[in-house]
Amino acid sequence: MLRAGERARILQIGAEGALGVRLRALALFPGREILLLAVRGGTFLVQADGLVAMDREVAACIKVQTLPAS
Amino acid sequence: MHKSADFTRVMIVGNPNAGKSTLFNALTGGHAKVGNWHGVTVGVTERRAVLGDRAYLICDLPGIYAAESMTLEERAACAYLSDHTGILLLVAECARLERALRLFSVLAADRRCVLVLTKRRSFVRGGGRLDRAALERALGIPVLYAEGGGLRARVVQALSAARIWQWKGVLGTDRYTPCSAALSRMERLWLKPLFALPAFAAMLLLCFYLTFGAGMPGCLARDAIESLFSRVLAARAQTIPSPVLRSFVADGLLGGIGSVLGFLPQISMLFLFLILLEESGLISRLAWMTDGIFSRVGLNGRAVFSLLMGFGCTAAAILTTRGLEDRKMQRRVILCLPYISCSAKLPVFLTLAASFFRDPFPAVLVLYALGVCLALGMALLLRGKASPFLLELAPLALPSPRAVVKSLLFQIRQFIIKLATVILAFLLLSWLLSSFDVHGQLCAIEDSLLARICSAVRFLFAPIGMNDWRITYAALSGLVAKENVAGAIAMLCGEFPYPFASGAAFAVFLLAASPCVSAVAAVARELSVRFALLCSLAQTASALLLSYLVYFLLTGGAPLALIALAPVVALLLCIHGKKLSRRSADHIKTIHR
Repeated sequence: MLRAGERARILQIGAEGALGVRLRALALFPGREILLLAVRGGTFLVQADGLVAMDREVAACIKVQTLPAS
Repeated sequence: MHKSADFTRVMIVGNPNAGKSTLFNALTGGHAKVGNWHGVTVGVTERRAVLGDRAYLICDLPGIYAAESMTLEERAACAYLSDHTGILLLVAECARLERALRLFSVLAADRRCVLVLTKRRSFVRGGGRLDRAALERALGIPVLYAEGGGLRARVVQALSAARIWQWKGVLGTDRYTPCSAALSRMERLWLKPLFALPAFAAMLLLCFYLTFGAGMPGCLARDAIESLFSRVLAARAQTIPSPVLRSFVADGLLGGIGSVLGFLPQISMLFLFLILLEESGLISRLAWMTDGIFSRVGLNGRAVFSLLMGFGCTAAAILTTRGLEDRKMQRRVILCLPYISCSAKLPVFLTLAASFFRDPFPAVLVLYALGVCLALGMALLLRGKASPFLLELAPLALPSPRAVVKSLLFQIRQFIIKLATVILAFLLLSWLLSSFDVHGQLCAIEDSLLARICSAVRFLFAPIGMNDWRITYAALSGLVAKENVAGAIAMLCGEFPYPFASGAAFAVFLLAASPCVSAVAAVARELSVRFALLCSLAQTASALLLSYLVYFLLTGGAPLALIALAPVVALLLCIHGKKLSRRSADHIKTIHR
């Protein structure tokens, strides 16, 4: 599981339907690099194209590979 | 498909918070609501405008992330697009151009389009680079920046040159270099939980204190206006020779209007706080920070938009629930909203609190907090499966003074219009009914038509020590507009004539009762008329029971309090029992599948 401050590359989006489309529309698609900024009360804040907040259920759909710290 | 022969339809389309409504206002001179958060525009706004020598119907649509929509407002926008023809004015932030072009490739295919790029200054400051001319050649449609002078003229020129969208390529680095994604110091500060939530709580408390703390600007301004009406104008009114006209002007008009108008400075301060919150981008950070809390009561962070808007106006807050993902969540939030104390309840809370306390601030704060607790309690009672929470945070920005002043003046204008129409009409009706008897003769207030009508239902407030038709009338007047309550009390009673326990119980009734007719109409539009009327009735009935409970607790009548509590507990158990049986029925269906 990703920790706050870690960078990762998205491997797979496991959500179908409108949620999957919305994730892709927010520039969260396979191959994209993201930074997990903060976790607060089960809600995640991710930086990709902009800042995106999501709950555990949505975050669980995004499979990532941690990148080494730059 | 609809098309008018008189004008050309222009539909403004783009991601949320791209600047569509700002462009709409610039083109039409209108006042579509703008704010620095995703989901401000909740319905399609249409306005005619003459640009150049042609008439256009400019349509501001809610923001869309993708053609396969997740929220109610996106679905409404997509449905509008598929039902209407016209030119598309595609609005994209320079910093989010890639994702915007992906959306436009789906929405705008085979339609005549113009691309408007917004927020260029911040994009360039962040190190971004964009070759507008090269982009225009690649897309084959006119491309212009929203910033810069002569926007209307440039848009007119672009609309006449609009072309069919056919591009499905990729943005090359020769045309576009994205800006830096580094967060500013202020952004990083608002990500720290130990700073952000306490800072927000402090801002809210400061706003409330400045608005209705004794000796604070809000109270001082209110006292000045009330003094103007009660001393100066009322004294002049006493010189009117005709007794009927004198009664109307002094008692009906000045007494009622003056008592409501006096609260304008305080209501304005409350709206100013909400506008600053919207314009700065803090509201979406608040949604992220509070999602964990809201998920425990079956909502999600997105609900904070609507609940915060509820502090301004319940009807407007109900409309923002279109930004939610599904009908069930929307229904739950709508049922919570009436308990949030809107700005219209502020006059009556202050009137009641001022009757018992030198400094009304703590009492009013308690009422606001009680409202929030009741709203969360209602959410917990109706708890269901929360929708997934996925929200893009708007960038933090210093509110533009021009935008803030414009929004505030719009709210003040709306209040004065309401005062000059609905409230004035109601006060006039109240004065007429309270000044004349059944024979149409001028009479004492106790013998008036109003006294006769309201005496029939005054028993409702007898359990809280107010077997008084005037209080009944004041409470009923709140169903039309909450500001009427303060006006009615001022006109019929002067000052609130009952002890603290009755005042507290009455305040709780007003807090929890059905919202005003505008809010009920908004619920009817969003859900159904039957649902809206049933909810209104149920809320008023439960508010009465709650007020009895408060009164009995304050007067030490514990056994009577239990009697008042019994129906409420029975209702809660009934609702909870229904939910449990529905869940077990669903579980059985799942096992059998």
